Amino acid sequence: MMGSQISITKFQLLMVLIQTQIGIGLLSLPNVVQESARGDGWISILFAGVVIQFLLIIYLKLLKKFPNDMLTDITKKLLGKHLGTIVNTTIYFYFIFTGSTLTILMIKILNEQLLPLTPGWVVSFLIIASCVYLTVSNLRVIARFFVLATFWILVLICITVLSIWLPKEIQFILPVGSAGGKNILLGSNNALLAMLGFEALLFLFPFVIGNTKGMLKTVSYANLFVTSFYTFITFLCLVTFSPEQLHQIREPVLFLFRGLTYRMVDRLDLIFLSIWIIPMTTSIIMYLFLASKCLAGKKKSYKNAVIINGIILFCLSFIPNTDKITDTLTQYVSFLSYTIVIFLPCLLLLLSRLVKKRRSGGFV
Amino acid sequence: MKKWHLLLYILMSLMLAGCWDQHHLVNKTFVNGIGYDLTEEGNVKVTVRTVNIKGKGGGQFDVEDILLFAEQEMQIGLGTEIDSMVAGEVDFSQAHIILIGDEMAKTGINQLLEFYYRGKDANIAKKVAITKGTAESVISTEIEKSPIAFFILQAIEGGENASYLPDESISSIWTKLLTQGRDLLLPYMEQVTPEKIRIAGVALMDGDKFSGKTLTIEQSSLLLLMMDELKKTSQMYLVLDEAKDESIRISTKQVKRKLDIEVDEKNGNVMASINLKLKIGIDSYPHNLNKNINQNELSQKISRELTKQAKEITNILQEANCDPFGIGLRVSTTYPETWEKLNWDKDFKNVTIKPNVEVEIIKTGSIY
Amino acid sequence: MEEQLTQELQNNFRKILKYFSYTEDLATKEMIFDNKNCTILFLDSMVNKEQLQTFVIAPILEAETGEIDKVVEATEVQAVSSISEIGSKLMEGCCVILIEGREVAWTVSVAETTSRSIETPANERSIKSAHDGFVESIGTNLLLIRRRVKTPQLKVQSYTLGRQSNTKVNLVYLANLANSEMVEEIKRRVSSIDVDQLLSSGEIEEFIEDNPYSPFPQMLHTERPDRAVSYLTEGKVLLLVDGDPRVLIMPITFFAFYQASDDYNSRWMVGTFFRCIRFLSYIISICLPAIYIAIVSYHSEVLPIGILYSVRVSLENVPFHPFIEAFTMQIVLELLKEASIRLPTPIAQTIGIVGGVVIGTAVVEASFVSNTMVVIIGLTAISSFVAPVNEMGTSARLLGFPVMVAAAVLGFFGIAIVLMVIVMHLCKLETFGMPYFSPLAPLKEKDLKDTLIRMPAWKMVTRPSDSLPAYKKQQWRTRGWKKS
Repeated sequence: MMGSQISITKFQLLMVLIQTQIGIGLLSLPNVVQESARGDGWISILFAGVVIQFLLIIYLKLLKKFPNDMLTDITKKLLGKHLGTIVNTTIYFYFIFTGSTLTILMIKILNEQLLPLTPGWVVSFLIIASCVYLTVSNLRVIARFFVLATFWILVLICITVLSIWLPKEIQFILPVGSAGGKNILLGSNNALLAMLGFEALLFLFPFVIGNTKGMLKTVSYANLFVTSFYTFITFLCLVTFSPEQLHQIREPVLFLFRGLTYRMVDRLDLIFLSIWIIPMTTSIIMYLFLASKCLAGKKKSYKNAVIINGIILFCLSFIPNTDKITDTLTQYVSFLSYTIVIFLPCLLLLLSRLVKKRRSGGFV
Repeated sequence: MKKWHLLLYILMSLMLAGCWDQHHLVNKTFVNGIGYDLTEEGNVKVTVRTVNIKGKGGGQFDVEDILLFAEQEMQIGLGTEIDSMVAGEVDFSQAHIILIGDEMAKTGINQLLEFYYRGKDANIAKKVAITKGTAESVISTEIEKSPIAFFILQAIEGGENASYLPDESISSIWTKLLTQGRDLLLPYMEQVTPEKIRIAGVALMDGDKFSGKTLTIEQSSLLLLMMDELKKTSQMYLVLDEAKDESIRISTKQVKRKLDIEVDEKNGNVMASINLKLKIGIDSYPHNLNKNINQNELSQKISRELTKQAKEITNILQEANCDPFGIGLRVSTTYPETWEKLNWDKDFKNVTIKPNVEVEIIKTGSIY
Repeated sequence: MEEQLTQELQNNFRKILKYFSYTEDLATKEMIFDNKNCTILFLDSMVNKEQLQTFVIAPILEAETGEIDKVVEATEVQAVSSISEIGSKLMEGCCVILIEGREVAWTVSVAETTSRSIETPANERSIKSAHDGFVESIGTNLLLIRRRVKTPQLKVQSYTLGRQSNTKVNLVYLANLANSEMVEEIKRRVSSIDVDQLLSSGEIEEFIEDNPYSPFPQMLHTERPDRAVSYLTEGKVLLLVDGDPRVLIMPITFFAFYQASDDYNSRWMVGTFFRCIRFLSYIISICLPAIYIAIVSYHSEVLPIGILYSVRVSLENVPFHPFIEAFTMQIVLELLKEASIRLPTPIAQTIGIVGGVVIGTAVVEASFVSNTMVVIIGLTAISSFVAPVNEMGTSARLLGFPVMVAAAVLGFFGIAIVLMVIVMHLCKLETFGMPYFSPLAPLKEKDLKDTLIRMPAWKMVTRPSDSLPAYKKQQWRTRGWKKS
C-alpha cells in the first residue's frame, strides 16, 4: 500500500546496523581472534573496526551518487542488465548463505548449551517462523523492533559487568603487540567475519530519511558501538582466561558467566544465552530481509519473496551441523563476503567515477 | 485462513511430540560432594554423596545424604556407574565440593576436572580441595545435621573470607592450571576424628600435581597477603619472643604489595623481591599490660618476625616448586627472550626471592 | 418515495399508526386549535407527561389560535412533513402535533429523561481523582465532557447506527488538535457500519478495530470523564454510544492501559514508582509461571542450592507435570473469578474464602499442586489484576498460556521465542495508522516522559505525538515565576 513511502530515521538505521552486526559471532569471537593474534586479539578487533570504517566511507561515496537506489539497482545501472543480473544473483546467494550459516550456528549453539535432545528442525522452524513473521511486514516495523532489541543489548552489557568480579590477570595480554603485525592482521580477518552486517547499509540507504547529510556520523556511531562492545568483551575474556584455556573453549563469552554464582541465581550463562537469542535472531531477520529485497527488487512481490526465502533458509538449516560442515560453510561464506562486501563496492565506486568522467568528457 | 490452520496443526504436532529435553526436577538425585581416590591397584575410586530430601510437610524438610562408591580403572566410567546406583537421573550440577585424595592429586588433577569443564550441566563455580589421606575418609565423615558437603563448603568459604584460603573455583583452577609460570594453591582438608574434619592449611601444587608440601593456616594467611589477595581482613598471631612469652594477635586491614623482578639477561638469573606494606590493627597483646604500647618498636618487631616467616614460606614454596606469585608469568611477559631459555620447572628453585614485610600499626583497639 | 403527510388528519393519523405497527402505547390527545381538529401524538412510555401538559397542551388550549411553534413553550419545536421523520422523532420522545388541513406536523421535545445519577465508576476506582463517572445517557456524558473542556473547538459528530436499535453514536474530538486524516478514517469506518442492533461500545470496537486477531485491546474503554478528556486533549477521538456508560478512546497506545488518573495527582516520584510497579506486574503476569515451569522441568541448574532444595521438596509427591499444575491452577483461578464476579457481594465473599483458602490449602495438602506453584500462580494473578484497565490484565493472563506452553516444550528457548514474537506483534500493530507500541517502537524519547515514568507535570511541555496531533505544545508557562 505504502511501499514506496516506507522510510526509517537515522537513529533507526543506527540501531538496525548495530543489531545486524551484533549476533552469534560474538560468543566465539575471543576464541577466534585469539587463535592467531594471541593476547593481542583486542587490537585485531579495533583494527577490524578501522577497516570497516573505511569500507563504510567507500559505501557512502558510492551510495551518494545513487541516493534512491539499492545495491542491486546500482549494479544494474553500472554493469548493464545482464552482468548486473549475474552479480545480483551472487549477492542474493551471499545473503541466503550468510543467513543460513547464522541459523545453523545458532541451532548448533542452542543444541549444545540449552536443548541437546531437541531436534534441530524444531528450533530452526521456530526461529525462522518468527523471523518471517516480522520480515513480511515492512522495513519500518523491522526497524522499530530492532530499536527495542537494542535495549536488550544494554541489559546484556549490564550482565557482562558482573563478570568483572571474576579473577583477572592482566599479564595474559602483556606485552602488548607481542603477537606481531601479521598475526594481528590475521586476527582482524577473523574478527571482520563476526562483525559482518554493516553491508546492510548498501540496501538500507535509499530508505533513510534525509540521507544526504550526516550519514557518515550515523554509520560511524554504529561502527564505534559495535567495535567497542566487541573489544570490551574480548578484552574481558582475554584477561580472564589463560591463552591455552581460551584456545580450548568454544564459546568463551558464555564461560565468563558460568563461573559466577549468586544467592538468587546460578549459571548466568544459560540466562545470558536465552537473552542472546534475540540479537542472534535479529541478524537472521536482517539477512532474510536483504535476500528478499534482492529477490523482489522494486516489484511488489516482496511478501512472497520473504516466504520463499524463509522456506529456503529452513531447508538449508537441515544441513547437519557438525563441526566440519559448519567450518567449511563459514569458509565459503567468508570468501563470498570478501567479494560482496569489499571487492564489489570498490569496483562499483571506481566504475561510477569512470562513467561519470566519460559522460562529462562527452558533454564537453 | 488455510495458512493459519496449517500453522496450528504444525504447532499442535510439535506440542504433542515435544518436551525432548525435559528433565524433571523431581526425578533428579543431586550429588553434593564428590571424592576421588587412587586405590592401591591404581584404580580410581569415587565416593559420592547424594542428597535425599524428605519433606515433612509444612515446608519442613530433612536432608539426608547417602554415600555411594564406585571404582574403575579410569575416571571416565564412574559417572555411569553412579547413575546406575541411584533412582532417577544423577545431577552433578549441584555438587559443590570436589575432594581429591593426596595420592590421587600427586598424579595430577587436570584430567579429573576435565569432565566439569566440558559438560553442559557442570557448574564450574564449585570448590576443589585436597585431602590428607583418602578423600573417602573425609567425605564419609558423619557429622550431625548438615550434610558433610555443605559443611566443607562453608568451611572453605569461611576460610576464603578470612583470607587464609585462596578463592578458587573450578573455573579459576582451570585458568591457573593452563597458565605457565603460575601455580595453584588448594585447600587442604583432614579428618581429625571420625566425626570431625578441619582445614589443615593449603596444599601446594606443582603444575596440576600435588607437591606433597603443605602450609599451615598461619603460613597461608601470610602467603595470601604476599600474593596480594586480602579479602576483608586477615588475622594472624605471632610469637615475638618465646623466652619472654611475648605473643600478639594482629589483623591486617590493608595491603600494599610490590613484586619486582630483575633478570640478569646474561646468565638468566631471576631475582624477585616482594615488598609488603601492611596496615594492621592489634587485636590482642597481653604482654606488658601496665605500659602503653611503643608502636614503633612493636611494629619493627612484628616486621622482623613476619619477614622471617615470609622467608620460610618462600623456601617451602621453592622446595615444592610452586609459584603462586606468578613470577614465571611476569618473567615470560616482561623478558620473553630470557623466558625462552629458562626451564621453569627446574629454574624456579634457583630464583632468589627476597621477601620484606613492613607493618604499620593503625589501630590498637580500645586501649593504648 | 417517502410517505408524506397529507391534508387529511385522519389519514395522517392512520399512516403513523401503521408506521408504528399499530402499537398500543402510541397515545393521542384530540383538541381543537384554530377551529380545526388537532391531534397530539406521543409514545406513552417516552414522554414526560408533566412537561407535555405544561408546555404543549396547556398553551394550545389557552391560545386557541396562532402559530404552533410560537404557541408551544418548549425549546425545541420543529416542523416535519415525512412519516419516517415523525416516526424517529416520536422514538426520541417528542410529541407530534397534527392539524387538520396542514401538510406539516410539529414535533416538540418533551422526552422523559430517566437516567442513573452520576456515580463513581465501580470498575475504575480512584483515590485522588474526580469521582464522577459516565452514565448510560449520551446527553449526560456529553455534558460531563463539555464541562471539562469548554472550547468551541470541541466537535461532536453524530451518527445513528442500527436498523432496529437506532442507537445514537457520537464522535467527539477537538477540531483544531485531532489529526484530520485519522478523524476522516474513523468517520469512514463508523459510517460504514450497517447492522440491526448496536447496543454497546464493545460491538462498535470490534467493528472498527484494525487487528481483530490480536490479543491486545486496541481501544480504551473508560467510564471516567477525566480520563476521557485527558486523551481528548492529546488529540484522540472519543466515541460515545447511547446506553453505554463506557466511552471508547481511539487510537490508543499500549502504555495508556497502564496510566491511571491517580498518577497525575500524586507526587511525580510516587507516580513513577507506581508506573514501574505496574509494568513489572505485566511482565510477571506473562512470564512468571513460564519461567517457573522452564526451571523446574529444564534448567534446574540456574537455581542455587538453597532455593533448589526447597523447590524440590515441594515438588515431591506431586504427580503432575508442572505445566498441568500451572494450567489447572490458572483455570481454577479464572473459575473463582468468574463465579464471584456476578454474584451479590456476600456470596462472592464466601466463594472467595472457599476458593482461596479451602481449595488453595487443600490442593496442596492433597499434594495435587506444589506449594511453590500456588505461590507462583497467586503472584501471577495478583499482578494481572494490577493493570488499571481490566482488559489489559486479562489479555496478559491470556498471553501467559502460550508462553507457558512454550516453556513446557522448549524451556528458556521457548520463552525467549514467544516473548520475541509478542514484541514483534506489538511493533507491527497499528491502530488507525498510529503505532500501538509508541513511544517505544518507534522510539520517541520526548514521549517517554509519560509512559514508564511520569515526569513532573511542568516537564510535559509537549503532548504525546502517537496520534499525530496538529500541534504539539501544551504548556506555555508553568513555573515561570522561578525566573523572575
